[in-house]
Amino acid sequence: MTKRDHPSFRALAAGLALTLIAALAACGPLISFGDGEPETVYTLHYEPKRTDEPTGPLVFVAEPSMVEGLGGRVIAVRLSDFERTLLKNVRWTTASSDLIREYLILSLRDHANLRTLGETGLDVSAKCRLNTTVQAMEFVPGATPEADAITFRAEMTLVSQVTGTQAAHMVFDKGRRVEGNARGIVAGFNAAMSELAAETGRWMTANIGACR
Amino acid sequence: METRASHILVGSFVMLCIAGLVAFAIWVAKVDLEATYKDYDIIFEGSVSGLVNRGTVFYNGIPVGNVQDINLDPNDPSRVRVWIRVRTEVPVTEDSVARLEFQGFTGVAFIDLGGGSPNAPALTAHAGQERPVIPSEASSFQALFNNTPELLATAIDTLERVQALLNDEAIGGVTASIQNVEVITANVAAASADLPTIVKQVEAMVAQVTETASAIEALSRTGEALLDDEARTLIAEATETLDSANALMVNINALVANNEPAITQFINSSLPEVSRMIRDLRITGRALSRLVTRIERNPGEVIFGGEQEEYDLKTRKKEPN
Repeated sequence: MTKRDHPSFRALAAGLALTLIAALAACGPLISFGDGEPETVYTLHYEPKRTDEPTGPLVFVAEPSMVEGLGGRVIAVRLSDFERTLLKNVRWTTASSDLIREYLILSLRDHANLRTLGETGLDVSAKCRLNTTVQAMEFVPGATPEADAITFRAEMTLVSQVTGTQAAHMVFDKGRRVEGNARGIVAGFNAAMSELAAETGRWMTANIGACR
Repeated sequence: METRASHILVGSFVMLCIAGLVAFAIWVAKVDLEATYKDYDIIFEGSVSGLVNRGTVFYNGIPVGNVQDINLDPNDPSRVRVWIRVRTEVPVTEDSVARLEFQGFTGVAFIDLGGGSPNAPALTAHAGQERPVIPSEASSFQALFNNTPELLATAIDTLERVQALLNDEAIGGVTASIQNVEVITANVAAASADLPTIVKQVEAMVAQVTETASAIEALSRTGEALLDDEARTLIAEATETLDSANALMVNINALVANNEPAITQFINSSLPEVSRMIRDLRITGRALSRLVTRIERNPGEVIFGGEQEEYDLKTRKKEPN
């Protein structure tokens, strides 16, 4: 009789196997297996227009700071009073802060002729940094689908890294009505982001003197 | 025959008596029948109280004439014109001056002429003047009487101010000050009893200071001797140390010069990157802190997920996830 054929060894192995199966079952929420309904994934997309290299100053676009925990892949829903929840089965492709940052990096090259730097430009010395704080980015359901809306408000701060001072500051509010479905909501966010990027480009052009 | 002789004798006697009386009157009146006089006017500013007609006129204290008349000046009623008559030989000249003086405190006034230098021309009447006019000046008495009312008013005012100054409150303050001075004086008197002790303490202190000064002097001599002995060695060591420091700086300069591009790149590129990395590390640190807090609060929620409802666009209401 070998050791593996010993009854005690078999009992121990069976117990370990059962424990492993129980542990795997408990890890279900951590390792998501889905709830049966597919999630629809959306993005904030900007299509670059220029093909040549911008000639303006270098500006480092920092990762936006998202208030009230808005920085994940979920879309927040503003209910009555102070209640918040999430939009079911609708997700961004990645964290919304990354989407907004990449959108600004691409769009400011077109709108303000800036050589913008993102995460990959960390080791490049830039005279200015653009800080963004997203104060609101939520779906606000109305009494009827026609009354649905989104909020989208961002605070922009241009910082001179040479003097360590604030060169300019502006708050953009781009809330609007949207169709009460996932596609309409995401289209509303894309339209709001497009307007915000264009206005930010004009604002940066007006204040770019601090970055030269 | 008898009656006629008596009448002649009586008449002669009466005539003698009358002549004697006249001579006596002249003698008594001191009338100088041979004397000649000259008239003058004196204009006084203000009152001439105490001066009367027939009042005496003196020249340097000698009676030389009298007052003939006292009247107001027709040209100016505030002034008084006094007509005097003095002997001709009195030298009244252009620079003579008349003053109104008083005899003691009796109030009897007289005119005293003065001045009159020997070479000055005799005073004569000018055009429009009835008589020569002697200029007048105020005497010391007159000045005193003129200024007395003002002096009295000033004195009264001063007294009123002194009274106001010396009110009850001020007197109380002065009294308190005097009491304080008394207290201080008493304290000084009491302290003076300890004066010998204080003097002894001061003497001891001076002795101590003298001793300390001697010790310092000895110390300085010792220091001088020490410096004389050790100074050369010390200076030599310091020079050696400075030479070493100089050599070190030269090496550092060479090191920097040889690696200038790398150092420049580090300053221009790496330092900003480090700065941003620190910023990102702060953000990451905050996220980790929140995660740890959630784990501490409810580990099961972190591992297995929470019971959160989500908004369903189809039903337009919250539903369990």
